[in-house]
Amino acid sequence: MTKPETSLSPTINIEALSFAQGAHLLLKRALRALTPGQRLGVRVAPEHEREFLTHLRGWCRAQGHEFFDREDKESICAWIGRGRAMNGRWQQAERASGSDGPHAAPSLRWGFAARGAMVEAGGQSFHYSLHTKEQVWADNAPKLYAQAVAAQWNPNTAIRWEEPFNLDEEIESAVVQVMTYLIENENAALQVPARLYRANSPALPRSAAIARHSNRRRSASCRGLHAPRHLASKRTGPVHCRRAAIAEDFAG
Amino acid sequence: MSNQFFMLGAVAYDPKVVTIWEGFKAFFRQRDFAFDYVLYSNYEQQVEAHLAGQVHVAWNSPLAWIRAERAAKARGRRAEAIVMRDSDQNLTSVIVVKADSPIHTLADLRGKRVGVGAIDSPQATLIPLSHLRGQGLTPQQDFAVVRHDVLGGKHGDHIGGERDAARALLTGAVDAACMIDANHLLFINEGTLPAGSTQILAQTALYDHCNFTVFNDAPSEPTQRFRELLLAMSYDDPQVRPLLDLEGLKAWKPGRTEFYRPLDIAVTEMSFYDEAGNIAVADYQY
Repeated sequence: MTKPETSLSPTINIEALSFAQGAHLLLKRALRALTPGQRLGVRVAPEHEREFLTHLRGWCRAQGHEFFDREDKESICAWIGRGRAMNGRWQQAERASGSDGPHAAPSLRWGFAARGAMVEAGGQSFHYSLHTKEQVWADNAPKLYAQAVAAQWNPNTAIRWEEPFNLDEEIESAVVQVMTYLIENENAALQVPARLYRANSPALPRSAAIARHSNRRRSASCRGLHAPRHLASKRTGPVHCRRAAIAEDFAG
Repeated sequence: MSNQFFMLGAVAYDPKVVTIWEGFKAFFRQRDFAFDYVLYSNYEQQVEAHLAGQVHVAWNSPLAWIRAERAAKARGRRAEAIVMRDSDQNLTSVIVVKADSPIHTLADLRGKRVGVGAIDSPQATLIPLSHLRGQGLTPQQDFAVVRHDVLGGKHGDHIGGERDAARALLTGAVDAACMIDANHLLFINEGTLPAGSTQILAQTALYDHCNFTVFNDAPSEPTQRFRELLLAMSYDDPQVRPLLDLEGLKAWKPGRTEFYRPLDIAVTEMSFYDEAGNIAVADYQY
Protein backbone atom coordinates (compact mmCIF):
# COMPACT_ATOMS: atom_id res chain seq x y z
CA MET A 1 0.00 0.00 0.00
CA THR A 2 1.28 3.42 -0.90
CA LYS A 3 0.28 6.46 1.11
CA PRO A 4 -1.64 9.19 -0.71
CA GLU A 5 0.78 11.47 -2.50
CA THR A 6 1.08 15.08 -1.49
CA SER A 7 -0.04 17.21 -4.43
CA LEU A 8 -2.81 19.56 -5.42
CA SER A 9 -5.09 16.58 -5.92
CA PRO A 10 -4.32 13.82 -3.48
CA THR A 11 -4.03 10.31 -4.86
CA ILE A 12 -3.91 6.84 -3.45
CA ASN A 13 -2.32 3.79 -5.01
CA ILE A 14 -4.49 0.86 -4.06
CA GLU A 15 -2.20 -1.55 -5.94
CA ALA A 16 -3.75 -5.05 -5.98
CA LEU A 17 -5.88 -4.73 -2.87
CA SER A 18 -9.53 -5.63 -3.51
CA PHE A 19 -12.64 -4.40 -1.72
CA ALA A 20 -13.02 -7.88 -0.24
CA GLN A 21 -9.56 -7.44 1.26
CA GLY A 22 -10.42 -4.08 2.81
CA ALA A 23 -9.58 -1.50 0.15
CA HIS A 24 -12.61 0.52 1.24
CA LEU A 25 -11.02 1.11 4.64
CA LEU A 26 -8.02 2.76 3.01
CA LEU A 27 -10.25 4.78 0.72
CA LYS A 28 -12.31 5.99 3.68
CA ARG A 29 -9.17 6.96 5.53
CA ALA A 30 -7.87 8.93 2.57
CA LEU A 31 -11.26 10.58 1.95
CA ARG A 32 -11.57 11.66 5.60
CA ALA A 33 -8.68 14.03 5.01
CA LEU A 34 -10.53 15.79 2.18
CA THR A 35 -13.34 18.32 2.19
CA PRO A 36 -16.66 17.59 0.46
CA GLY A 37 -16.28 18.07 -3.28
CA GLN A 38 -12.52 17.54 -3.26
CA ARG A 39 -11.23 14.75 -5.48
CA LEU A 40 -9.10 11.74 -4.68
CA GLY A 41 -7.21 10.11 -7.53
CA VAL A 42 -7.07 6.31 -7.44
CA ARG A 43 -4.37 4.16 -9.00
CA VAL A 44 -4.74 0.39 -9.26
CA ALA A 45 -2.49 -2.42 -10.46
CA PRO A 46 -3.37 -2.95 -14.14
CA GLU A 47 -4.33 -6.61 -13.74
CA HIS A 48 -6.88 -5.71 -11.04
CA GLU A 49 -8.17 -2.53 -12.62
CA ARG A 50 -11.30 -3.85 -14.27
CA GLU A 51 -12.85 -5.51 -11.22
CA PHE A 52 -11.66 -2.85 -8.80
CA LEU A 53 -13.08 0.05 -10.79
CA THR A 54 -16.38 -1.80 -11.27
CA HIS A 55 -16.66 -2.23 -7.52
CA LEU A 56 -15.41 1.29 -6.86
CA ARG A 57 -18.24 2.71 -8.97
CA GLY A 58 -20.84 0.77 -6.95
CA TRP A 59 -19.16 1.59 -3.64
CA CYS A 60 -19.10 5.32 -4.42
CA ARG A 61 -22.78 5.23 -5.35
CA ALA A 62 -23.68 3.57 -2.05
CA GLN A 63 -21.49 5.89 0.01
CA GLY A 64 -22.66 9.11 -1.59
CA HIS A 65 -19.36 9.87 -3.33
CA GLU A 66 -19.05 10.76 -6.99
CA PHE A 67 -17.18 8.44 -9.33
CA PHE A 68 -15.32 9.90 -12.30
CA ASP A 69 -13.75 7.86 -15.07
CA ARG A 70 -10.15 8.61 -15.96
CA GLU A 71 -9.49 11.14 -18.63
CA ASP A 72 -7.53 10.24 -21.73
CA LYS A 73 -3.85 9.39 -21.21
CA GLU A 74 -4.18 9.90 -17.48
CA SER A 75 -2.13 7.74 -15.16
CA ILE A 76 -4.93 7.94 -12.60
CA CYS A 77 -7.44 5.11 -13.05
CA ALA A 78 -10.44 6.94 -11.58
CA TRP A 79 -11.35 9.89 -9.37
CA ILE A 80 -13.57 9.95 -6.32
CA GLY A 81 -15.40 13.17 -5.51
CA ARG A 82 -15.83 13.17 -1.75
CA GLY A 83 -19.49 13.37 -0.75
CA ARG A 84 -21.04 15.03 2.28
CA ALA A 85 -22.47 11.93 3.96
CA MET A 86 -19.23 11.07 5.78
CA ASN A 87 -19.69 14.25 7.81
CA GLY A 88 -23.45 14.05 8.00
CA ARG A 89 -23.46 10.79 9.89
CA TRP A 90 -21.82 12.48 12.87
CA GLN A 91 -24.05 15.53 13.04
CA GLN A 92 -25.48 15.85 16.56
CA ALA A 93 -23.66 12.70 17.70
CA GLU A 94 -23.00 12.56 21.44
CA ARG A 95 -20.67 10.85 23.90
CA ALA A 96 -22.09 7.96 25.90
CA SER A 97 -21.26 9.39 29.34
CA GLY A 98 -17.90 11.01 29.85
CA SER A 99 -14.56 9.67 30.92
CA ASP A 100 -15.33 10.54 34.53
CA GLY A 101 -17.59 7.61 35.35
CA PRO A 102 -21.16 6.50 34.82
CA HIS A 103 -23.81 9.05 33.90
CA ALA A 104 -26.59 9.54 36.47
CA ALA A 105 -29.24 8.91 33.81
CA PRO A 106 -27.71 7.55 30.60
CA SER A 107 -29.71 7.96 27.40
CA LEU A 108 -31.58 4.84 26.33
CA ARG A 109 -30.31 5.53 22.80
CA TRP A 110 -26.74 4.79 23.84
CA GLY A 111 -27.55 1.08 23.62
CA PHE A 112 -24.43 -1.08 23.73
CA ALA A 113 -22.01 1.82 23.32
CA ALA A 114 -19.01 1.83 25.62
CA ARG A 115 -18.88 4.63 28.13
CA GLY A 116 -17.16 7.55 26.41
CA ALA A 117 -17.85 6.33 22.87
CA MET A 118 -19.45 8.51 20.17
CA VAL A 119 -23.06 7.54 19.42
CA GLU A 120 -24.85 8.63 16.24
CA ALA A 121 -28.01 10.64 16.75
CA GLY A 122 -31.31 9.35 15.43
CA GLY A 123 -31.02 5.76 16.59
CA GLN A 124 -33.75 3.75 18.23
CA SER A 125 -34.14 3.68 22.01
CA PHE A 126 -33.42 0.48 23.90
CA HIS A 127 -35.56 -0.60 26.83
CA TYR A 128 -33.87 -1.14 30.18
CA SER A 129 -35.93 -1.23 33.36
CA LEU A 130 -32.78 -0.31 35.32
CA HIS A 131 -31.40 2.74 33.60
CA THR A 132 -30.43 5.30 36.22
CA LYS A 133 -27.40 5.27 38.43
CA GLU A 134 -29.64 5.77 41.45
CA GLN A 135 -31.44 2.50 40.68
CA VAL A 136 -28.35 0.34 40.56
CA TRP A 137 -25.57 2.00 42.47
CA ALA A 138 -24.12 0.16 45.48
CA ASP A 139 -21.08 1.46 47.37
CA ASN A 140 -20.19 -2.01 48.56
CA ALA A 141 -20.04 -3.56 45.08
CA PRO A 142 -16.21 -3.67 44.96
CA LYS A 143 -16.12 -5.32 48.36
CA LEU A 144 -18.71 -7.91 47.35
CA TYR A 145 -16.79 -8.58 44.19
CA ALA A 146 -13.57 -9.09 46.13
CA GLN A 147 -15.36 -11.50 48.42
CA ALA A 148 -16.79 -13.38 45.46
CA VAL A 149 -13.38 -13.74 43.87
CA ALA A 150 -11.81 -14.86 47.14
CA ALA A 151 -14.54 -17.45 47.65
CA GLN A 152 -14.02 -19.07 44.31
CA TRP A 153 -12.77 -22.64 44.54
CA ASN A 154 -11.88 -25.29 42.06
CA PRO A 155 -13.85 -28.50 42.62
CA ASN A 156 -11.47 -30.44 40.37
CA THR A 157 -8.61 -29.93 42.81
CA ALA A 158 -10.42 -29.30 46.09
CA ILE A 159 -12.23 -32.64 46.03
CA ARG A 160 -10.50 -35.98 45.74
CA TRP A 161 -12.96 -37.48 43.29
CA GLU A 162 -10.96 -40.70 42.87
CA GLU A 163 -11.04 -41.59 46.56
CA PRO A 164 -13.34 -44.55 47.14
CA PHE A 165 -16.20 -44.22 49.57
CA ASN A 166 -18.95 -46.49 50.80
CA LEU A 167 -22.17 -45.14 52.21
CA ASP A 168 -25.31 -46.88 53.25
CA GLU A 169 -27.80 -47.00 50.43
CA GLU A 170 -30.22 -44.68 52.24
CA ILE A 171 -27.47 -42.16 53.04
CA GLU A 172 -26.25 -42.20 49.44
CA SER A 173 -29.81 -41.68 48.25
CA ALA A 174 -30.16 -38.71 50.64
CA VAL A 175 -26.88 -37.20 49.38
CA VAL A 176 -28.12 -37.54 45.80
CA GLN A 177 -31.35 -35.80 46.79
CA VAL A 178 -29.48 -32.94 48.48
CA MET A 179 -27.18 -32.56 45.47
CA THR A 180 -30.18 -32.42 43.17
CA TYR A 181 -31.65 -29.66 45.30
CA LEU A 182 -28.34 -27.77 45.24
CA ILE A 183 -28.18 -28.00 41.45
CA GLU A 184 -31.61 -26.42 41.20
CA ASN A 185 -30.52 -23.77 43.67
CA GLU A 186 -27.38 -23.07 41.69
CA ASN A 187 -29.35 -22.78 38.46
CA ALA A 188 -31.62 -20.25 40.12
CA ALA A 189 -28.57 -18.44 41.47
CA LEU A 190 -27.30 -18.12 37.91
CA GLN A 191 -30.56 -17.25 36.18
CA VAL A 192 -31.91 -14.67 38.64
CA PRO A 193 -28.93 -12.33 38.35
CA ALA A 194 -28.68 -13.10 34.64
CA ARG A 195 -32.10 -11.50 34.20
CA LEU A 196 -30.72 -8.39 35.82
CA TYR A 197 -28.02 -8.12 33.18
CA ARG A 198 -30.68 -7.80 30.52
CA ALA A 199 -32.62 -5.20 32.50
CA ASN A 200 -29.58 -3.09 33.27
CA SER A 201 -28.42 -0.35 30.90
CA PRO A 202 -24.90 -1.20 29.64
CA ALA A 203 -24.00 2.42 30.35
CA LEU A 204 -24.15 1.60 34.07
CA PRO A 205 -21.88 -0.74 36.04
CA ARG A 206 -23.66 -4.10 36.00
CA SER A 207 -21.73 -5.39 38.98
CA ALA A 208 -23.42 -2.75 41.09
CA ALA A 209 -26.86 -3.80 39.94
CA ILE A 210 -26.20 -7.43 40.62
CA ALA A 211 -24.81 -6.67 44.04
CA ARG A 212 -27.69 -4.44 45.01
CA HIS A 213 -30.48 -6.64 43.74
CA SER A 214 -29.20 -9.98 44.88
CA ASN A 215 -27.55 -9.07 48.15
CA ARG A 216 -29.76 -11.46 50.04
CA ARG A 217 -28.37 -14.36 48.10
CA ARG A 218 -24.70 -14.60 48.57
CA SER A 219 -24.23 -17.37 46.04
CA ALA A 220 -26.32 -15.50 43.47
CA SER A 221 -24.37 -12.30 43.84
CA CYS A 222 -21.08 -14.18 43.69
CA ARG A 223 -21.98 -15.78 40.38
CA GLY A 224 -23.53 -12.65 39.01
CA LEU A 225 -20.40 -10.74 39.78
CA HIS A 226 -18.00 -13.35 38.61
CA ALA A 227 -19.45 -15.14 35.63
CA PRO A 228 -19.30 -12.53 32.83
CA ARG A 229 -16.22 -10.98 34.33
CA HIS A 230 -15.17 -9.16 31.20
CA LEU A 231 -18.36 -7.12 31.45
CA ALA A 232 -19.13 -6.99 35.12
CA SER A 233 -16.06 -6.98 37.24
CA LYS A 234 -14.52 -3.95 38.78
CA ARG A 235 -11.10 -5.34 37.98
CA THR A 236 -11.48 -6.38 34.38
CA GLY A 237 -14.58 -4.62 33.02
CA PRO A 238 -13.12 -1.12 32.92
CA VAL A 239 -9.90 -2.38 31.30
CA HIS A 240 -11.26 -1.78 27.79
CA CYS A 241 -12.48 1.69 28.71
CA ARG A 242 -9.26 2.54 30.54
CA ARG A 243 -7.13 1.40 27.62
CA ALA A 244 -9.28 3.21 25.06
CA ALA A 245 -9.00 6.45 27.00
CA ILE A 246 -5.25 6.48 27.65
CA ALA A 247 -4.38 8.67 24.68
CA GLU A 248 -7.61 10.41 23.80
CA ASP A 249 -9.63 10.52 27.03
CA PHE A 250 -12.59 8.95 25.22
CA ALA A 251 -13.49 5.71 23.53
CA GLY A 252 -13.80 5.86 19.75
CA MET B 1 -59.33 11.33 -8.06
CA SER B 2 -60.66 13.07 -4.95
CA ASN B 3 -58.57 12.39 -1.91
CA GLN B 4 -57.51 14.78 0.80
CA PHE B 5 -54.14 13.03 0.87
CA PHE B 6 -51.38 13.07 -1.70
CA MET B 7 -51.28 9.36 -2.44
CA LEU B 8 -48.14 7.42 -3.30
CA GLY B 9 -47.97 3.93 -4.74
CA ALA B 10 -45.06 1.66 -3.89
CA VAL B 11 -44.36 -2.03 -4.39
CA ALA B 12 -43.96 -4.32 -1.38
CA TYR B 13 -40.86 -6.16 -2.59
CA ASP B 14 -39.58 -6.57 0.98
CA PRO B 15 -41.09 -6.30 4.51
CA LYS B 16 -38.96 -3.22 5.15
CA VAL B 17 -41.07 -1.32 2.63
CA VAL B 18 -43.76 -0.85 5.30
CA THR B 19 -41.20 0.61 7.72
CA ILE B 20 -39.86 2.91 5.01
CA TRP B 21 -43.18 4.40 3.98
CA GLU B 22 -44.53 4.65 7.52
CA GLY B 23 -41.39 6.66 8.24
CA PHE B 24 -41.90 8.91 5.23
CA LYS B 25 -45.56 9.31 6.13
CA ALA B 26 -44.59 10.54 9.59
CA PHE B 27 -41.94 12.82 8.05
CA PHE B 28 -44.47 14.42 5.71
CA ARG B 29 -47.22 14.68 8.33
CA GLN B 30 -44.81 16.46 10.70
CA ARG B 31 -44.44 19.06 7.97
CA ASP B 32 -48.21 19.46 7.53
CA PHE B 33 -48.21 17.64 4.23
CA ALA B 34 -51.21 15.33 3.91
CA PHE B 35 -49.51 12.22 2.57
CA ASP B 36 -50.47 8.57 2.52
CA TYR B 37 -49.43 5.51 0.56
CA VAL B 38 -50.74 2.31 -0.97
CA LEU B 39 -48.62 -0.81 -1.40
CA TYR B 40 -49.01 -3.02 -4.44
CA SER B 41 -47.76 -6.56 -4.80
CA ASN B 42 -46.19 -5.85 -8.19
CA TYR B 43 -45.26 -3.00 -10.52
CA GLU B 44 -47.75 -3.96 -13.22
CA GLN B 45 -50.69 -3.43 -10.87
CA GLN B 46 -49.10 -0.23 -9.64
CA VAL B 47 -48.69 1.27 -13.11
CA GLU B 48 -52.28 0.39 -13.99
CA ALA B 49 -53.56 1.86 -10.72
CA HIS B 50 -51.54 5.00 -11.36
CA LEU B 51 -52.98 5.34 -14.86
CA ALA B 52 -56.46 4.84 -13.37
CA GLY B 53 -55.85 7.70 -10.95
CA GLN B 54 -55.74 5.64 -7.78
CA VAL B 55 -52.45 7.25 -6.71
CA HIS B 56 -50.91 10.61 -7.54
CA VAL B 57 -47.30 9.51 -7.62
CA ALA B 58 -45.64 6.11 -8.04
CA TRP B 59 -42.27 4.96 -6.76
CA ASN B 60 -41.40 3.15 -9.95
CA SER B 61 -38.74 0.69 -10.95
CA PRO B 62 -36.99 1.62 -14.21
CA LEU B 63 -39.10 -0.94 -16.05
CA ALA B 64 -42.30 0.45 -14.51
CA TRP B 65 -41.14 3.90 -15.65
CA ILE B 66 -40.81 2.64 -19.23
CA ARG B 67 -44.31 1.18 -19.10
CA ALA B 68 -45.81 4.28 -17.49
CA GLU B 69 -44.14 6.55 -20.02
CA ARG B 70 -45.29 4.50 -23.00
CA ALA B 71 -48.81 4.04 -21.66
CA ALA B 72 -49.17 7.72 -20.84
CA LYS B 73 -48.01 8.74 -24.30
CA ALA B 74 -50.47 6.35 -25.94
CA ARG B 75 -53.27 7.98 -23.91
CA GLY B 76 -52.29 11.53 -24.74
CA ARG B 77 -50.76 12.09 -21.33
CA ARG B 78 -47.18 12.67 -20.26
CA ALA B 79 -45.15 10.95 -17.56
CA GLU B 80 -42.52 12.86 -15.61
CA ALA B 81 -39.74 11.52 -13.40
CA ILE B 82 -39.67 14.14 -10.66
CA VAL B 83 -37.17 12.80 -8.12
CA MET B 84 -34.75 9.89 -7.79
CA ARG B 85 -32.10 8.71 -5.34
CA ASP B 86 -28.46 9.59 -5.84
CA SER B 87 -27.91 5.83 -5.82
CA ASP B 88 -30.33 5.44 -8.75
CA GLN B 89 -27.94 7.20 -11.09
CA ASN B 90 -25.11 5.76 -13.15
CA LEU B 91 -25.51 2.03 -12.55
CA THR B 92 -23.90 -0.59 -14.73
CA SER B 93 -24.45 -4.31 -14.95
CA VAL B 94 -21.70 -6.84 -15.39
CA ILE B 95 -21.46 -10.24 -17.03
CA VAL B 96 -19.35 -12.48 -14.85
CA VAL B 97 -17.64 -15.80 -15.49
CA LYS B 98 -15.66 -18.10 -13.22
CA ALA B 99 -12.05 -17.14 -12.70
CA ASP B 100 -10.83 -20.34 -14.37
CA SER B 101 -13.37 -20.17 -17.17
CA PRO B 102 -12.21 -20.74 -20.76
CA ILE B 103 -14.46 -17.81 -21.69
CA HIS B 104 -12.21 -14.79 -22.21
CA THR B 105 -14.16 -12.69 -24.71
CA LEU B 106 -17.83 -12.16 -25.46
CA ALA B 107 -17.41 -14.23 -28.61
CA ASP B 108 -16.55 -17.18 -26.37
CA LEU B 109 -20.14 -17.08 -25.06
CA ARG B 110 -21.40 -18.60 -28.31
CA GLY B 111 -23.07 -21.89 -27.55
CA LYS B 112 -22.85 -21.29 -23.81
CA ARG B 113 -25.46 -20.74 -21.06
CA VAL B 114 -25.89 -17.24 -19.65
CA GLY B 115 -27.65 -17.04 -16.29
CA VAL B 116 -29.90 -14.03 -15.83
CA GLY B 117 -32.32 -12.89 -13.12
CA ALA B 118 -36.09 -12.79 -13.32
CA ILE B 119 -37.76 -12.14 -16.67
CA ASP B 120 -38.63 -8.62 -15.52
CA SER B 121 -35.27 -7.65 -14.00
CA PRO B 122 -33.87 -4.61 -15.83
CA GLN B 123 -30.44 -4.99 -14.25
CA ALA B 124 -29.93 -8.76 -14.38
CA THR B 125 -31.86 -9.69 -17.52
CA LEU B 126 -33.09 -7.00 -19.90
CA ILE B 127 -30.13 -4.62 -20.00
CA PRO B 128 -27.35 -7.27 -19.99
CA LEU B 129 -29.09 -9.27 -22.74
CA SER B 130 -29.50 -6.09 -24.76
CA HIS B 131 -25.81 -5.36 -24.26
CA LEU B 132 -24.91 -8.80 -25.59
CA ARG B 133 -27.24 -8.28 -28.53
CA GLY B 134 -25.45 -5.01 -29.23
CA GLN B 135 -22.18 -6.95 -29.32
CA GLY B 136 -23.55 -9.27 -31.98
CA LEU B 137 -24.79 -12.09 -29.76
CA THR B 138 -28.50 -12.84 -30.10
CA PRO B 139 -30.07 -14.38 -26.97
CA GLN B 140 -31.43 -17.93 -27.42
CA GLN B 141 -29.78 -18.05 -30.81
CA ASP B 142 -26.09 -17.53 -30.14
CA PHE B 143 -26.29 -18.56 -26.50
CA ALA B 144 -28.87 -20.08 -24.14
CA VAL B 145 -30.59 -17.82 -21.63
CA VAL B 146 -31.14 -19.45 -18.24
CA ARG B 147 -33.70 -17.43 -16.31
CA HIS B 148 -34.01 -17.35 -12.53
CA ASP B 149 -37.57 -16.19 -12.01
CA VAL B 150 -38.11 -15.09 -8.44
CA LEU B 151 -41.09 -12.97 -7.35
CA GLY B 152 -42.32 -11.92 -10.77
CA GLY B 153 -43.72 -8.43 -11.08
CA LYS B 154 -41.27 -6.96 -8.61
CA HIS B 155 -38.84 -6.15 -11.41
CA GLY B 156 -35.88 -7.73 -9.66
CA ASP B 157 -35.86 -5.28 -6.74
CA HIS B 158 -35.35 -8.13 -4.28
CA ILE B 159 -32.26 -9.36 -6.22
CA GLY B 160 -33.33 -12.95 -5.53
CA GLY B 161 -33.06 -14.07 -9.15
CA GLU B 162 -29.77 -12.24 -9.52
CA ARG B 163 -28.35 -14.09 -6.55
CA ASP B 164 -29.66 -17.42 -7.89
CA ALA B 165 -27.88 -16.72 -11.20
CA ALA B 166 -24.65 -16.10 -9.27
CA ARG B 167 -25.09 -19.39 -7.40
CA ALA B 168 -25.77 -21.18 -10.68
CA LEU B 169 -22.47 -19.86 -12.00
CA LEU B 170 -20.62 -21.45 -9.08
CA THR B 171 -22.35 -24.80 -9.46
CA GLY B 172 -21.64 -24.86 -13.18
CA ALA B 173 -25.32 -24.74 -14.13
CA VAL B 174 -24.50 -21.67 -16.24
CA ASP B 175 -21.30 -20.40 -17.84
CA ALA B 176 -21.87 -16.71 -17.14
CA ALA B 177 -24.11 -14.67 -14.86
CA CYS B 178 -25.52 -11.12 -15.00
CA MET B 179 -25.80 -8.71 -12.08
CA ILE B 180 -25.49 -5.07 -11.03
CA ASP B 181 -21.89 -3.90 -10.52
CA ALA B 182 -22.48 -3.34 -6.80
CA ASN B 183 -24.17 -6.71 -6.40
CA HIS B 184 -21.06 -8.45 -7.68
CA LEU B 185 -19.26 -6.88 -4.74
CA LEU B 186 -22.21 -7.67 -2.43
CA PHE B 187 -22.21 -11.33 -3.47
CA ILE B 188 -18.47 -11.52 -2.80
CA ASN B 189 -18.79 -9.85 0.61
CA GLU B 190 -21.69 -12.08 1.71
CA GLY B 191 -19.91 -15.21 0.51
CA THR B 192 -22.27 -16.13 -2.32
CA LEU B 193 -19.32 -15.74 -4.67
CA PRO B 194 -16.03 -16.55 -2.93
CA ALA B 195 -13.46 -13.78 -3.42
CA GLY B 196 -11.34 -14.46 -6.47
CA SER B 197 -13.70 -17.12 -7.83
CA THR B 198 -15.08 -14.96 -10.62
CA GLN B 199 -13.97 -12.39 -13.16
CA ILE B 200 -15.82 -9.69 -15.02
CA LEU B 201 -16.22 -10.45 -18.70
CA ALA B 202 -18.21 -7.39 -19.77
CA GLN B 203 -19.86 -4.26 -18.42
CA THR B 204 -22.91 -2.47 -19.79
CA ALA B 205 -23.34 1.23 -20.45
CA LEU B 206 -24.56 3.48 -17.64
CA TYR B 207 -28.25 3.41 -16.78
CA ASP B 208 -30.55 4.80 -14.08
CA HIS B 209 -32.83 2.95 -11.70
CA CYS B 210 -35.96 4.03 -9.77
CA ASN B 211 -37.83 7.33 -9.84
CA PHE B 212 -40.97 9.00 -8.50
CA THR B 213 -43.29 9.20 -11.50
CA VAL B 214 -46.23 11.56 -11.94
CA PHE B 215 -48.51 12.15 -14.91
CA ASN B 216 -49.13 15.63 -16.22
CA ASP B 217 -52.63 15.68 -14.71
CA ALA B 218 -51.32 15.21 -11.15
CA PRO B 219 -52.32 18.07 -8.81
CA SER B 220 -49.54 20.61 -9.24
CA GLU B 221 -49.34 22.18 -5.78
CA PRO B 222 -49.00 18.97 -3.70
CA THR B 223 -46.77 17.42 -6.36
CA GLN B 224 -44.46 20.39 -6.13
CA ARG B 225 -44.52 20.30 -2.32
CA PHE B 226 -43.80 16.56 -2.31
CA ARG B 227 -40.82 17.16 -4.57
CA GLU B 228 -39.50 20.07 -2.53
CA LEU B 229 -39.79 18.21 0.77
CA LEU B 230 -37.88 15.25 -0.64
CA LEU B 231 -35.12 17.37 -2.14
CA ALA B 232 -34.75 19.23 1.17
CA MET B 233 -34.15 16.02 3.14
CA SER B 234 -30.63 16.14 4.49
CA TYR B 235 -28.42 13.27 5.57
CA ASP B 236 -27.17 15.65 8.28
CA ASP B 237 -30.59 15.47 9.96
CA PRO B 238 -30.60 12.59 12.48
CA GLN B 239 -34.38 12.30 12.24
CA VAL B 240 -34.24 11.85 8.46
CA ARG B 241 -31.03 9.81 8.19
CA PRO B 242 -32.54 6.43 9.24
CA LEU B 243 -35.16 6.78 6.48
CA LEU B 244 -32.52 7.55 3.88
CA ASP B 245 -30.40 4.65 5.10
CA LEU B 246 -33.37 2.28 4.83
CA GLU B 247 -34.18 3.46 1.33
CA GLY B 248 -30.50 3.30 0.33
CA LEU B 249 -29.59 6.88 -0.52
CA LYS B 250 -27.60 9.80 0.79
CA ALA B 251 -29.51 12.51 -1.10
CA TRP B 252 -32.52 12.88 -3.40
CA LYS B 253 -31.80 14.22 -6.87
CA PRO B 254 -34.05 15.86 -9.47
CA GLY B 255 -35.32 13.20 -11.85
CA ARG B 256 -33.72 12.69 -15.26
CA THR B 257 -34.75 10.30 -18.00
CA GLU B 258 -31.94 10.17 -20.55
CA PHE B 259 -30.30 7.21 -18.79
CA TYR B 260 -33.41 5.03 -19.24
CA ARG B 261 -32.60 4.77 -22.93
CA PRO B 262 -30.66 1.45 -22.64
CA LEU B 263 -33.65 -0.14 -20.91
CA ASP B 264 -36.12 1.32 -23.40
CA ILE B 265 -34.12 -0.28 -26.19
CA ALA B 266 -34.00 -3.59 -24.31
CA VAL B 267 -37.77 -3.55 -23.73
CA THR B 268 -38.35 -3.08 -27.44
CA GLU B 269 -35.82 -5.76 -28.44
CA MET B 270 -37.41 -8.27 -26.06
CA SER B 271 -40.97 -7.10 -26.84
CA PHE B 272 -41.59 -6.87 -23.13
CA TYR B 273 -44.10 -4.01 -23.50
CA ASP B 274 -45.54 -2.74 -26.76
CA GLU B 275 -45.37 0.91 -27.72
CA ALA B 276 -48.63 1.58 -25.85
CA GLY B 277 -47.28 0.07 -22.62
CA ASN B 278 -49.23 -3.18 -22.83
CA ILE B 279 -47.51 -6.32 -21.60
CA ALA B 280 -46.39 -8.17 -24.71
CA VAL B 281 -43.91 -10.71 -23.40
CA ALA B 282 -45.06 -14.31 -23.06
CA ASP B 283 -44.86 -16.41 -19.87
CA TYR B 284 -44.57 -13.40 -17.55
CA GLN B 285 -46.09 -14.43 -14.21
CA TYR B 286 -46.76 -11.76 -11.60
